[in-house]
Amino acid sequence: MSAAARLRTLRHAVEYSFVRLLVAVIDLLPIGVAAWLARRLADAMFVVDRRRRVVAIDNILRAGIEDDPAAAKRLARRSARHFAVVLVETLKARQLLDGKTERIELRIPASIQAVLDDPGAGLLVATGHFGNWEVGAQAFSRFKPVVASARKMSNRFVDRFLQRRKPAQGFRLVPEWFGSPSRYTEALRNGEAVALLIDLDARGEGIKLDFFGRPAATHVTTAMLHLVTKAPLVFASCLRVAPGRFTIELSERIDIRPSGDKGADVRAVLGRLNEKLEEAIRSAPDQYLWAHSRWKYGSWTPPEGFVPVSGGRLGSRIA
Amino acid sequence: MERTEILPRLRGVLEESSTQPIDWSRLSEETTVESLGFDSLSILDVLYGIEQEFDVELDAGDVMDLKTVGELVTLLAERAAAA
Repeated sequence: MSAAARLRTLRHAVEYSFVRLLVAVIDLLPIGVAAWLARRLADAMFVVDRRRRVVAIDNILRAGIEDDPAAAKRLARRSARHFAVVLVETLKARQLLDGKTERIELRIPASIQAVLDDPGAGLLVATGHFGNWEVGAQAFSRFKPVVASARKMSNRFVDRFLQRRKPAQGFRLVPEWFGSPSRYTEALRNGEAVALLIDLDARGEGIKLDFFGRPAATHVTTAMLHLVTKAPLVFASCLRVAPGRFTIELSERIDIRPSGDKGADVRAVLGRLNEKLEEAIRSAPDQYLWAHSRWKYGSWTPPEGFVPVSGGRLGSRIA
Repeated sequence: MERTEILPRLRGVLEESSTQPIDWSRLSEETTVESLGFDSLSILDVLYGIEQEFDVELDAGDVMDLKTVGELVTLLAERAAAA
């Protein structure tokens, strides 16, 4: 083993020990206290992590959620706190969800209830980095087995540890969705729900599609799976109403039949899903992960006093 | 539907879905699916194209398990006969 590899292993072992300790502490604390601590930690990180802070403010302004940089900064801070609580809730998901149905309110249209009641019917569930998407997917697996994708972490010790903490009952992870789509088609055929995030940056892989009126690189897999398998497709959101308490809401079924014009069909499906995601975000903008770089191209004029990430350099007096 | 009728139509679909520099005029039933260089995402494009061209419903697993273009032709001929 080279010196660099030994050093990396050592660093990963230290990180793993820290994560184990952190998780042990979180496990011991009531959710309210753990969430409070997470929010304080997020406040500190918001000051320290300048890059993510500027990305978040940039995104909020671009989306038109706020047009004043100072208001965008306040919202970015609330979003950072929200994300910290998402992490805590995800780590405590097993505790939160174990037999405690009162923590989840489920709002499902009748047409989708019929799909949930049919064990042979697959369901495509599209969502975004809104509310607590992780806990939402795990909670939903009570009603139908859920298959979701997971990005492998570079630290294999932490990766293995966190994978083991996922509730086994009804919820399983497959390697990142760039893996074989046959895993998803098979799951749909077996009557499982396939949960996919639609707001990941697709870089060169996807298509440019408007998100909050601005072009964003968007993965097409969700749309292609719907068009090819004809599986019922819904948009789902998992809104936090209090720490550890959620409302999961499923949209009416989205049905786009293949027309022969693949590009138009894909845009129709993803356009509908983006509309649903935008609607959810507008209802609770502080529950969206704004620090994720969603728009990597497309020019815009930022408000005075704010220099966005895509503006060429980081920082401004407001950020 | 005859096999001889299926292959040229299938070639059109595969060619449209491919981003690989392949000499499509040499496509035959012996050509391996692997040699066509479809990745896991473009296989969904292929399925979309085949379903539209032949008016059939296929599963990604069925197609990805196939070794040669001839096996795909057989699958389509069977589906056409069953319709």
